[in-house]
Order: sequence, then structure tokens, then C-alpha cells
Amino acid sequence: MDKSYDDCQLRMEHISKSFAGVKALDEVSLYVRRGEVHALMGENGAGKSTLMKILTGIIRPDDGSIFIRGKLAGNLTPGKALACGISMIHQELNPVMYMTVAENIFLGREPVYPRMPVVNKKKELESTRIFFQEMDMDIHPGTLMSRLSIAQIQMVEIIKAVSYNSGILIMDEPTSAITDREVNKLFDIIRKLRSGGVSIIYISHKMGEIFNIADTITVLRDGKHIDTRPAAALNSKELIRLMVGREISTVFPERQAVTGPVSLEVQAISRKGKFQNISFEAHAGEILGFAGLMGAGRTEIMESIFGINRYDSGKLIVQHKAVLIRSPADAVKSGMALITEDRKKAGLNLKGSVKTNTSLASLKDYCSFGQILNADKEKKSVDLEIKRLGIKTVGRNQLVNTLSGGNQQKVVLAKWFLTNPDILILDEPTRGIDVNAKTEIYQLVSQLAQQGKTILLISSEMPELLGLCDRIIVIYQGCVQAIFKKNEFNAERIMEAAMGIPSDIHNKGSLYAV
Amino acid sequence: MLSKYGIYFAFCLLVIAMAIISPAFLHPSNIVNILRQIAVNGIMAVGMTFVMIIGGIDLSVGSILALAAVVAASFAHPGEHRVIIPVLMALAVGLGVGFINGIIIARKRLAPFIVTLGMMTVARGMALVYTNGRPVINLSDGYNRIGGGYFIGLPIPVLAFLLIILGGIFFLHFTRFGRYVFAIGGNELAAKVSGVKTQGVVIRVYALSGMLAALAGVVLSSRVMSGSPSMGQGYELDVIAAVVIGGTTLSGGVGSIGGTIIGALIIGVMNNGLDLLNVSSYWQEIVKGVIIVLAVMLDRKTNR
Amino acid sequence: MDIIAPVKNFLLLLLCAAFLLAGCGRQKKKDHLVIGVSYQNLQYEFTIYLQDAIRSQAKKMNIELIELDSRGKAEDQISEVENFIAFGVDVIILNPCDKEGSAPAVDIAVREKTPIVVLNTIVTNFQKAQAFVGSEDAEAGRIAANYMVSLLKGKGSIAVIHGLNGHSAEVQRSAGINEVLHKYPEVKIVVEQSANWDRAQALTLMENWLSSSKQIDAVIAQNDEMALGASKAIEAAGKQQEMPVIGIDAIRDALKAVEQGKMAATIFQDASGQGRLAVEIAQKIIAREPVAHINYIPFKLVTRENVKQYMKNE
Repeated sequence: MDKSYDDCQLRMEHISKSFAGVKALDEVSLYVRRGEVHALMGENGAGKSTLMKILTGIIRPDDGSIFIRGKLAGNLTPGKALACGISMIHQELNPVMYMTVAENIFLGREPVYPRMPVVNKKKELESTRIFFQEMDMDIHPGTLMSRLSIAQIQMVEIIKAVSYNSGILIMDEPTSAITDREVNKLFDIIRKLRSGGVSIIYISHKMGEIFNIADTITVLRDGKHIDTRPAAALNSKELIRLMVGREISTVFPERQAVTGPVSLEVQAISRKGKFQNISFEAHAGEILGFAGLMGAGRTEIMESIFGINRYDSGKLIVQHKAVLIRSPADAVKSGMALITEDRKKAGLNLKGSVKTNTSLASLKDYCSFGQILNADKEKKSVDLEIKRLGIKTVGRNQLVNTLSGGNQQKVVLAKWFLTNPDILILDEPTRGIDVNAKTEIYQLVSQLAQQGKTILLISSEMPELLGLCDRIIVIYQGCVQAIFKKNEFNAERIMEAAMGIPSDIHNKGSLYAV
Repeated sequence: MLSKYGIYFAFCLLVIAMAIISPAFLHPSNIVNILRQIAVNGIMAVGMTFVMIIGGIDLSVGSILALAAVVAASFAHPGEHRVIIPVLMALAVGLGVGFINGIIIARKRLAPFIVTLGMMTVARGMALVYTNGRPVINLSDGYNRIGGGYFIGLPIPVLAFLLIILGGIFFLHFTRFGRYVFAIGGNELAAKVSGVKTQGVVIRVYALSGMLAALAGVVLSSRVMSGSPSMGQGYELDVIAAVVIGGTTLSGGVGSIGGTIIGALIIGVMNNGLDLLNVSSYWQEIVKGVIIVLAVMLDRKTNR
Repeated sequence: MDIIAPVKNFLLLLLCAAFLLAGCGRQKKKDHLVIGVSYQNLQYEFTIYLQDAIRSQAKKMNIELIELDSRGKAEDQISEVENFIAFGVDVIILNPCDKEGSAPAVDIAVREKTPIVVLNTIVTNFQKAQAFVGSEDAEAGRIAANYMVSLLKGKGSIAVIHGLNGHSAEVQRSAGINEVLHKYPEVKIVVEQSANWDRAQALTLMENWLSSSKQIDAVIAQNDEMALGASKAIEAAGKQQEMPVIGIDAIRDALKAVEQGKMAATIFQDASGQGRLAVEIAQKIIAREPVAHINYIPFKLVTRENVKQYMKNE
């Protein structure tokens, strides 16, 4: 055994995991020493959260082994992971709002009186008070969670994770909701824990924090381990290169960009708490990409444009006409289509067949008197789309639930093609589908652009954006951070903009006028 | 084949069992009997099928039945109006109450269970207020003929039921509206994103359920020749049972009128058979419960 | 239904509070009596007749009424009696929902020294109450069965349609019927089943019985609603002449059916007599006049011969 393994608190070796044939993790190894802050970096979908879910026992790896303090841990379950001293602070907070701080911290392991199933409230409060004292925090243990600010709730969650006396503490974007002052307090806590021998796996997109607190940095990309280096040996430019630098593995269709007249104009739309002052315009025949980190607000912007949620202010102009879009029905009428990010949640009726899903948005076209279904006409159109998109199905009456992810996505596309839209919004159209289906969808998208449709493409996959788009808009914290033209963008610049790092070259003002 | 038709299979089993145990069961007059007896619940079950396919529930049908029955009866005294006006008044009341259900559920996004539970007591209370708690009696012969008369050799309630079945099948399986009903039940958000005006569909479905409950109230009140504000208590549960036995899931998105009819028939045959055999009413309760669960179990098992 | 009760009780408490505040001075020296009446269920026509009689008698005697409907729920009846006591009524008239379940209401009134009159339906501890006014349900069963035996000339097969299983009227009317039929071994009950006091259910039940191959010569229904349902089915089957039906209560529809010969008889339970007497007794208790503890109002057989005189009463 390698000598450097001796002080390893945690060793994850050759972990692999596939979802529906897509490799999410490919032989990834991670070594975390006692008393170090180990940053885990990578783009959206690089495999960070899958790896952490495996470590906390939420999902089971297909292959590989995990050693905790040198001992092989078998099949981890969430309970077993906790017992092994692994605890996690999740990005999304889920406290029980109608319980007190102390009750939340001791949820599921309440101290009881000896031989009586009665909670010892006094002990619960007292222990909580001591925790807070140790961490130099000023929250009363008896306060209801619902009375705390988001930042305070975050701190309680952190204390809760720490209170398990874990040897390994995972923090997933712990600073997303707290102020700078509290970040400093959090870092004090982290340093205190580190000197006490606790290992911390720290996931964040904020460069400043990483270089402030991390001892070691591991970079993942496309489910593979890229590099592990001491933080001192890296700078942010180099780190970003590691995160995005790769050959484009998928073949993107060659396309002659013929940009037509402006088809969609978005003028300063805002929705409180989601996005502010978003303006852009899109042309017929153009593929306009939207880059950004998860939670940057891209999906919310598209949902508002499509009428799923109202925007508070701003204006939409479609084909040179100002339109009022209050519901998706209005959007469809204006010639828009939205392929949603989560096809199971908002794209498909999983209890329905290929036929009923495909014809849903254009059903009126197959009805006499607007109501009575013309079954033959419907079948013909549906069969045509099945053939055109190459949907692999035993027949139009197969339940979509039994199709593969790629074919399900094609059903969603077919549904919208039948409405013959001018503007297609595609939100992560290739998520969770295999490489072949991806390639087919890229073909379709560029064909559509060729036919003069306007495509708005949200994607978290860098090669997809780079390979398909004519222009790319980068959204950061609900605002337009940058707009790049084809000859201006590359992976590093998009990543920098997405992480909120001001770039030396790009100039927001002039690009706005494009 | 068996997998798709599990519930039909269960129904056949039940009929065969009944026919063997009681020779009177298959007599044509008894068959007509059963059909007449399930007409009231069956008419409501057609409406409830639409409601449950969109993933909702309507607990107010029993009370709407009573309200519509007393309203119709109050217009049906001899010498005043005979048939048309009372029936139209009842249907208008049912449609209105159902429409209010739908508006609240669709626009205010409240749980259908809560809204219709509230409406269940409100409509019952309105029926009591309207009649001062007294049954409305002394109805015209013309009105009473709706429940007691015959047309082309079939009892009028059975004919009405058949018409509603045909209408239900047409609207659910052969129109855009019906397709949207399934789409909303399967995934309301996906339907909305696809440009379906989901609120309008939901409102219309509850209005339909209210109107059919009112029609059931007309049939029942003319059958017993009086409109009583205490009619139809607990009917909502029998109706929901028929729909669920018929393969419509409580979570929505799946179901058919055909299945619902079989569900209503299973309940009707069971009631009839147990009476024919003079099973004590204590035991009837137990047998009914067991058969309902068994029928659904057989259906779900073969559907795997 | 269940969500109504708490709301109703709350409103009543509010009402009581308002009255207490407004009437602090008046409390001592009231110019009239206040009677609290708790009805078993104002959705039954018979209970409404009781209410009519109580109201008209109270008006005549210048008595103020506070009326509550417990909708067939004994547990509600208990809290209603508690509220009456809190409000300080002079007498309570209790029309019990349930023989056992409503008994605690009487105990509470006795403990709080508020006089209580039990009306129409018996409770197990009615001896503790100041008085009972009603009719003996078993007697109705006996009258029905005796008349049926005479119609059948001492020989035949009878179907019995029961009320809600376990309801005290159902229990006692059944006991009365069985007591008489026991004496005539040639009159047999061939089928019996509950139709829960409901006309539509009795109709269905009778249709099913008529479909079965059983020989049925006559039907006794434990109330008129069910008798009317049964007679409808018999009429539809064209057996009106050969299959007499007897009901109990003498509601309007049933009297009409007796007059038209669709029902053989009904049994008159004197709702107005009961309601009137209950109010009179309540007034006597306050006036400290002696009252009889048990006050039976007799049942009367109503047939085609004497139906006219009952119809005039309406």
C-alpha cells in the first residue's frame, strides 16, 4: 500500500456508475486526508453530486470500493454512512419549519429519559446551547425554525451536520444563501473542525472561496477524474482549463448559418427573486445558446417567456408585434414551443401513449367542428413524425413510460414539431439520453435552424453550446453577464462568465447592440 | 387478453356464481331490475369517471342529487309544470353547483377533496333550507313516469342511463375535450405547457359531474315519487367505489366509461344477489366490502 | 357533516355569551320561561312534526324556545345539553338520538339540577329524568302484527323491512312484531332485511325480493317511508291487490296511500300530542305542579275506514 494512504480518512477507489446506459462516473478515485479541506470541482453534470450521493449511501455504485479510515465499507446506506461518520450539508435546505432549532438538530436521535420513551427536552436544549457556544453563534435553541433567516437556517444545518461528530463532512454550496460576514464565521468553523482532524469535502463554484479555504483540489469532468493538486499549486485560470478542457467528442453537424430577420425580442423582463432586466433578441435561422450555472435563472427566464410563470415587468415582441403572454396557450398561439428541462415533470404524460402525447399540442388540427377527433388524420400525422424522428417504438399506442430516455425526448420534440412553431425553446434537450440519440437531436436542431426557425438552447453541456450555437448568452445570478458571438466564444470565457468572473476581453455594452 | 380485461373477468365470475346459487338471478325481469337499480348511481358514476381521470374527486354528488331532487319536485306538482320545467331546473341547479366546485378548484387551486367536502354540506344544507326539512310530495303523474314508466320496452331510468353512457363514451374517448381530460390527469403541468387551457377543462368536468348528479336526483325522486332533502346520503362513496372498481385510479390519468359501467354492475349485481339470497344485512356489509377489494385486487394483479 | 358540529357549537357559545352579557340584569327576574329542545334529527319528517307541535304550544304559553338539531349524533346531543345548562334554560326537552348514547345527557342535567323531559324515544336512564313523554314503540309493532294476522286470517308468509339496525325504534318495533307472531305459528317471516328507514332502499329491496322465487303474502315495514317504497315496487309488479303493506308513523304520503288502497294500513303516532304534552309538562315542573313520570300517548291503527279523520288533521 502506498505510504501516503496512511493518513487517509477516506478513500474512494475506481467508482463507476451508469444511469440508463449513460456513464455518470467512470472509475473515479478520491483520496481525502485527515484534517484537510478538499475542494471538489467540475461543471454541472461532471459527476460531483453523483459521487457524493454514493458516499452518503443514497445511491449505490456499479463498481469500486470505499475505505473509511482504512476499513472497507460495504454497501453504504444513508444510516450506515452516518454511523461511519459521514454527514452532508445539502444545497437545498430542508428543515422542519414548525420545530425548534434544538428539535431540528436532534431530529431522529432525540435524547430520552432512561428506560422511558419520553424526549428529554432539557437535555436537548442544553446540548444545543453548548454546540452553539462552541461555534460562537448567537441563536437560541428554543426558537422556531420558521422564525430564522435563511442564513441562520443554513448555519443551523451546518451545526446539525457538525453535531454528528462526523469525521467526514460534505458541504455542497454552503455559502449560497449567507452573507459575507457569515461566510467568515463559517470559515472559522471549518478551520476549527480541520484542526480537530475533521475532513471536509467542499463543493462550490465560487473561486474566491475555493482558494481561500481549500487545501487540495480535485477536478472532475464528464464523470472522469481529471486531476488532484494542492490548492497552492493552482490559479483560477488553470483550474478553469482543467474543468472545461477537453476535445469535443460528439460530432456536430456542419451548418451554414443563415441569420434572417429578428423573430423574438425580449425587452428588460424581470421576475422578482428570479431574474432581472433580461434583454436579448433572436433571429430566424439562429441557434441562440444560454449558458450558466445551475440555478442561474435560465429555466425561469424561459418559463416566463412561455407564460408558465408571469414576469413582473418588461415586454415581449414576436415577429415585430408586441404580445401579451399569460399562459402557455398564448405562447403556442404566438408560434412558440418549449421543450422543458424535466421531460417527466413538464413534458410528457407518462400514463399516455406515444400517440396521445405526440398529438396533444396540435390536437385541434385533427378535429372536426373543433371537437370531434378524426382518428385517421391523427394517426397519419403521428406515424409520420415517428418515422421522421426515428422514434423506436412498437407502435403509436405504446405507453411513453416504457420508452428509453432518448425516444421519450423525441416524442416531446415530435409533439412540438406538429404545431409548426417559429420559435423553439429547448431546455437541456439532451439531458440523460445516450450518445446516439444526442447526435440525432443535434441533427434535428440544426435542420430546424436551416429551415428558418429560431432556436433558444439552454444547455449545461459546454460542447453542445460550442458546437451548435451561433451566439451564446451567459446568465449569472439572474442577469445577462455576457453575450458572445460565434468567433468570440470559447469554453474558458463562457465558464468565467458563468462563474461571475469579469473577463478582460468581453465588453457587455457593445455586444448588447448586436 | 386477460391482463387488459381483468375486471370484466371478475364480473363474469360474479354473474356465474350468482346464477348458480340463485336460479331467479338470470330471469329477464331481474336483469331489468338490476339495470334500473344501478341507473341512479351509474349516471353519477359516468360524471365521476371524468372527475377521477383528471385526478380529482367529487364528494358533493350525493348532496347535489338531493338539492336537485327537491328543486325538481317543488316544480312538479300536478297542474303546474309537468316534466320539462322541473327537469331543466334540476339540471341547471346541478350544473351551477358543479361549476362553483370547478371554479374554486381550478382558479383557487384548492384540493378537490376539501372543496367538494365543503360543497357536500353546503348543498345538503341548501336542500334543507329550501324545503324546511320536509319532503316534497304530491308530484304530477307525468313527473313520476320518468322513474316508473317504460319507453320502447325499457324502463325510462335504464334508457336515460344508456344515453348517458353513450354520451360519456363519446365525450371521453372521441373528442378533444376527452383527450385533454386524460392529459390533465396524466400530467397537468405537461398539458398546460402543451397549450391546453387546463382550468377550463377542469371547470367543465366538475360542472358535468354536478349536472349528472342532478339528473340522478330527477330519476331517484320520480322513482320514489317524492323529493326529500335527506336523499342520497353516502351515495358518493358507492359512486367512487364503482369508478375505482372499474379501473380508474385515484391518482388520475387512467380510466374508461366501460370500466365504470362494469364497476356499477358489480355493485348492483352484488346488492341484488345478496337480497335474493336473503343474506342478513349485517353480513351484507362485510360481503360487499370484501368483494369490492377482491375485484380491484384481481384487476390490479392482472394489470401488472 | 362532521365539520358542521364544532362550528355550530361555537356559534351557540357565542350566542350564549352575548345573551349572558345582555341579560345580566334580566337573569334574576325573567318574565317568561326558557326551554331548550334538543331534537334527534330534523331531517326526519316525524321529528319535524314534533317540532311543529312544540313550537305552537310554546307560542300559546308564551315560552321562549332554544332549539338545536343533533342530526342523529348522540355525542352532539350531550354537548348541546351542556350548552343549555351554561345558558341557564329553565327546562330541557330531550328527544334522544340513541337509547344508550344519549343517556349521559340526562345524567348531566340531573347533576346540574336542571329539569329534563325525555320526548318520544326512550333512553336507558329515563327514570332519572323528571318525565318521559312518548309512545311505546313495541306497541306499534304489536298493532301492526295483529292487524296483519287478521288480514291474512292467521296463515301466511310475511316480509319485514327493518329500520336502521340497532336504532331503538327498530329494536322495539321488531320486538313487538315478534311477540305477536310468536303466538301464530302459521304466520311466518320468510325474509327480513334493513332498509335504513329509507324509501329508495326499501324500493330496491322489495324489487329484489319480488324477483326471488320466495312466496311473500304481505309486508310489514317499520316506518312509512319504507312502506311507500315497498308498495311502489309491488304496484310496479302488478301485485297490489294480493300483497298488503303496513307501515308506521302516518305521514302524509302514507295516509294518501292508505286512502288510495296502495297501503293496507299505517299506525298513527301522535307527534302533535307528544310535542304538546312535553311542553305542558315542562311548564308544570317549573310551576312545581305534580307530573306523571311516564306519559304514553297511544298509537292508533289507521285503515281505509278511518283515514279521513287523520287527513283532516293535516
